Amino acid sequence: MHDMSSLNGHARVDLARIRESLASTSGARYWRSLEELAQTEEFGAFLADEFPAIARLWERPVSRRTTLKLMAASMALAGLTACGRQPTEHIVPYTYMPEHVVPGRPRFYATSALIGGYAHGVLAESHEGRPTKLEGNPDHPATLGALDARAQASVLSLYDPDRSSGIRERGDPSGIGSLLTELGERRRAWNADGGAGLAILTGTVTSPSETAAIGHLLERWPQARWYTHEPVDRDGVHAGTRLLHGRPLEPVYHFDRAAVVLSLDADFLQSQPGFLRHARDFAARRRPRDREGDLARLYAVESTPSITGAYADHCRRLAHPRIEACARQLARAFNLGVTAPLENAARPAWMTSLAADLRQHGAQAVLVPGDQQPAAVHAIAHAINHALGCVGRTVEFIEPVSGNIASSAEEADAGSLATLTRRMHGGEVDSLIVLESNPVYTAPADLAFAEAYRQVPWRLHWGLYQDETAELSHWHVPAAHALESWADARAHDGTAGLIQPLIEPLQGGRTALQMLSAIETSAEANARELLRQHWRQRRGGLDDFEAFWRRALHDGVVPDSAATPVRTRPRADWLADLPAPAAAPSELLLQFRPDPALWDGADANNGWLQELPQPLTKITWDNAALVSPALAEARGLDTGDEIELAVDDRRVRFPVYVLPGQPRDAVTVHLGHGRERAGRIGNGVGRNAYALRSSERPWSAPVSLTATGDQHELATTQSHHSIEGRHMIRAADLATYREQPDFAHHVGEHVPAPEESLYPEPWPAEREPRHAWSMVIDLSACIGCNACVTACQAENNIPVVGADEVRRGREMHWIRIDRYFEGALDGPNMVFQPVTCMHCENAPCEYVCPVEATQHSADGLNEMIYNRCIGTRYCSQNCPYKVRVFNWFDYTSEQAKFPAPRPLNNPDVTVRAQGVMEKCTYCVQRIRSVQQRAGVEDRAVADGELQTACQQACPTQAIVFGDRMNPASQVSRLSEHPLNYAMLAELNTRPRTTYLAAVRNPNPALDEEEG
Amino acid sequence: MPQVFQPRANPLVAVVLVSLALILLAIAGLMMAFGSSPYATGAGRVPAQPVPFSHEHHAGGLGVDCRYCHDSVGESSFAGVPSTDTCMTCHSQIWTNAQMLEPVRQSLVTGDPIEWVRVHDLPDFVYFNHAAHVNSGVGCESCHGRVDQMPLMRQDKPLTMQWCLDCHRDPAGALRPPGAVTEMGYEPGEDDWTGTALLQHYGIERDHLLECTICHR
Repeated sequence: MHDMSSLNGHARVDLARIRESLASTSGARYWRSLEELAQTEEFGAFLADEFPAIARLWERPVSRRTTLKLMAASMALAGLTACGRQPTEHIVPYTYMPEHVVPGRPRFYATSALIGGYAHGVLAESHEGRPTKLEGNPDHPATLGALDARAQASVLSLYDPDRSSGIRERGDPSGIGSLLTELGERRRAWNADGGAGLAILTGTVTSPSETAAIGHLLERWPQARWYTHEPVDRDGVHAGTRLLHGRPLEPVYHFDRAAVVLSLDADFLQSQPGFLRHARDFAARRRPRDREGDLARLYAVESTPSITGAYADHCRRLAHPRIEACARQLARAFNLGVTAPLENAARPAWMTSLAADLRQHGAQAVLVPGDQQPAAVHAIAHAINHALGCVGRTVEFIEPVSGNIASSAEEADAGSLATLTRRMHGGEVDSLIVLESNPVYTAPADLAFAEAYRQVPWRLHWGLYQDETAELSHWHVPAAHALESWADARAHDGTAGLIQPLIEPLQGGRTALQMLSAIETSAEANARELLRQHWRQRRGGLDDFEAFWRRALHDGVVPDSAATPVRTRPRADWLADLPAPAAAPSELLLQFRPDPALWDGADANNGWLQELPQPLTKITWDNAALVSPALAEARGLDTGDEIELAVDDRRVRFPVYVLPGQPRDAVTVHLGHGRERAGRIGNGVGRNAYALRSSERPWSAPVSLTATGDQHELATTQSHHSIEGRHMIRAADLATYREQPDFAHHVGEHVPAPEESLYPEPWPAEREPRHAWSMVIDLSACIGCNACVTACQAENNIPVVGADEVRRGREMHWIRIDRYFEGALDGPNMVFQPVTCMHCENAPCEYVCPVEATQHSADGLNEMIYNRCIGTRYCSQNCPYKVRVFNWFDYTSEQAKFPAPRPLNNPDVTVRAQGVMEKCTYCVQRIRSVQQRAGVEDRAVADGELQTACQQACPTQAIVFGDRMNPASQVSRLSEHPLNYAMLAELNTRPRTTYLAAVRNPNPALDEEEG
Repeated sequence: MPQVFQPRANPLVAVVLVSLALILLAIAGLMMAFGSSPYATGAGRVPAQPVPFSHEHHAGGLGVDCRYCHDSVGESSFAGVPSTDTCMTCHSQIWTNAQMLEPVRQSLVTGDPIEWVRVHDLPDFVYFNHAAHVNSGVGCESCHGRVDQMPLMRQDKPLTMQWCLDCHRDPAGALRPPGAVTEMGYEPGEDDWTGTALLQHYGIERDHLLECTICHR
């Protein structure tokens, strides 16, 4: 994983040569990076150099004499390290033993994490009262047991020492008493004028109780106004359904019923509400292992490469405004009477084949418009859905889940941030209450929100952090984290769920209901009672409220609360309200996208999310301007060059990242970076894209781009190793698979695996095995979403190392997701391959360890014994998969640069110290605990009882783990599957982790046409 | 320049070299001896506790079963140390004025738990599981000694890896029939169970006990 950024600046990638080289390739060729393709001399030298990363770090040469002295001293001192007595430890039992608690055994509580305001049902793991990990709630419709990276990382934010820790008045510490007194005074004023100058600003609110509580405030002070500002808004969804159906509705997709899907700039696998459910349902129709030869097909038209586009069988990449032209062009094929676009977005033949495929599948097809697309695209897409007859089957409409969705365009305008800012500038707002929103950072720059905010005479902010908005507020009240709160929230399909606290507020935060109640009554209230009151009223007439309450808390969902689909048809005159097609802008466009990990930036102080490699670019700790190879060629740009982007008169500098597949005429930047008051981790990381955004054109705007001549080294985990033409990735289309199911074994030059080894083979082991643990990863299902990476990080106490260490290739993740490109430079296909320790039966690492710190267990685990490791790193050198990571520095203790909060650590996994090698253990702590439990209960371990953390989090069930000695287990079945292949099998490592080759389902008609 | 060393210095060199080697060996031997000495392992150590609790009195004299207080021993890795209110089930009735129980009463009044000093302290990279042992017939006594004869709790065994492995390599001798796990002073062979029968009864496979990750994760 040596990074090559040192070469940036002097070894520029020659894109013309790459094109030439790709054109001359016949057959599929997979590549990881442009540098590898370019095959520059420097790249060759880089690869030949044995320790490129280390050579760069040789900042101050050490003399031979000093080296010898240090070596002698460390030899002499090494023996002493084990000499000290352990420090005295205490056992602190409870004073009163809580019921059901068994010390040493975790308990799980059902609650919800909020993603963009929508509930993701989770089970929170608690060790004697300390929440340590979030897992998906199998009974929750939005997660079904899987969980995304963002929701999982929220447990780290719980322990964030930078969270706001107390009420502040004009920046100075204050108390609840003073706040309540102040609120009492304000209330007298609001009572007098009906709240004329009062405004409340929130994000998306799906919570039924909060919606009701804000409703009470508005009833009490009828002149008060509720404004909504969600930085990554979904206005297009509601405006589009309003246009088509006459009222705002929320589509709910059922991909388990879909055979053909068209995404119109919709990243429904990672961004849109319900994305985990989408991924689960859709992957179930895409896995050849479950559906012999009957796979769903995905078409994608997208403005920025996303994992949804990467998963598509056919992907067209167009600049953001041209998606509408595409929708219009398609609508013509369905004779919907939609005005044709001024310029076709795709070739008519392509469109005809697509339309024919959709029409052929009728009720089994579905169009998914993207959240960032305008109303017209949503209206047209759903009109086509109605024409296909799939409404009610693959897509249903429900009343909006969020409590603050305007029912008309006028109302939407009246409740917008733009209107609020206008009123603030006009002096019409004298009290502004901002609830869990950070508009000073996230408001579009043209609104000049900060100036307007300063003019409001009384400003109160309630939020988790002392953020940019808190800084400018008179009063700041710390919010309770979701894991400290009594609250509720609704999922994408309307299902309501309760949120229960796992721990008392660590920083004295207050829940949303407590805050709203304090505003209404200027008195303190009990958070749990407030929530119970709401549900008691809502469930009025319920005889046994206690039974309902306990059931709902236990399950994490309120029974039968999913919204009922509404029967709806397009309005007769919807076409009249459809805006006329606009000319696609000819100039260069700047597109805004939420960051895949940080989203709108509220979680910027979360180290796990900052260090999570972005799915396609593999950038960590930064955001870059994504530029197409064609544009880079035209402007002479290369990855790492710094450019200045100017929208109107606003300018921000960004480093360039050349991303194959980016539309030629559009540059994309991610929101959520460049925070100034996020905390010690998030401050000053990346550039603030909000500063270029305008309220009129929130998602794309014409831009001018100038190179500055400066360089900025991006911290990417993208591997710059040459894959030397080895066939790590194997993929084929459905036709090939049908013809030759075991095509994965006939890829490239066939190298038979050697039968004999120079070394004594540890397998079959001398000791008698009871199990043969093994893993199968299905490349047809992997969407590259990173959920497994964060799950592994949380389960195995993996530290955060920071951007500098990532640049040196020292990221500590035990599972990495390799991203491969295949095909043309401008429109490549992408494939993801999760790579983790293969637990080779003939493990090369084991032979070279001088102290036997890595060993083989009889059941096939490649064990890593931390307390034996002396850090020679020979094992890592000898590992052909490069899956071992080393603790170069102290990454875990309190003196570390990014210390992990100690209560967060999984008590069942050792926290590794400096100088120790580590790697994936197949979650051995889970294996042993299930084995021991089964032993105590005197039974065998059942298939599926044992899940590794990555497998559990995976939304697409791409990872299967189990016992190969049990012939009935899923993993045994899949090991025998014709698609199964081992990575680098020719090395005779006999890995226990194998892959199922990817099978794609392109449209044969289009294939010929494209070919 | 005259010779510094006379020929008779030659044997001296041999003596010095040999004794150097011997000294080094002795140092190594001493270090090893030190490592397994009770001073280093802590065997026999009796740490001071906030309350001078007597296992001899409770477990020996009164015959209270181990599991009355250490109630999670059968289902969790951690045997459990009783909460204050467990102590007070009896001591709210008897010895209610005893001076030595003042910290217990204080704990109940203030809600602050009693901080006991850990007697059996394994290194943090060792994951010992009580449930796995007691459900496989390893008696409490095997690791904790004759608790019923200890007025104050003492670390009876060295708790070194060597000591663990002695048993993991050959567990038969340490096993007891199901009813005798908490018994004190049990002698193998005092009933009809043989070591092999016990191994079979508990389904213990010796191979499995020597995996590194059984204890280290």
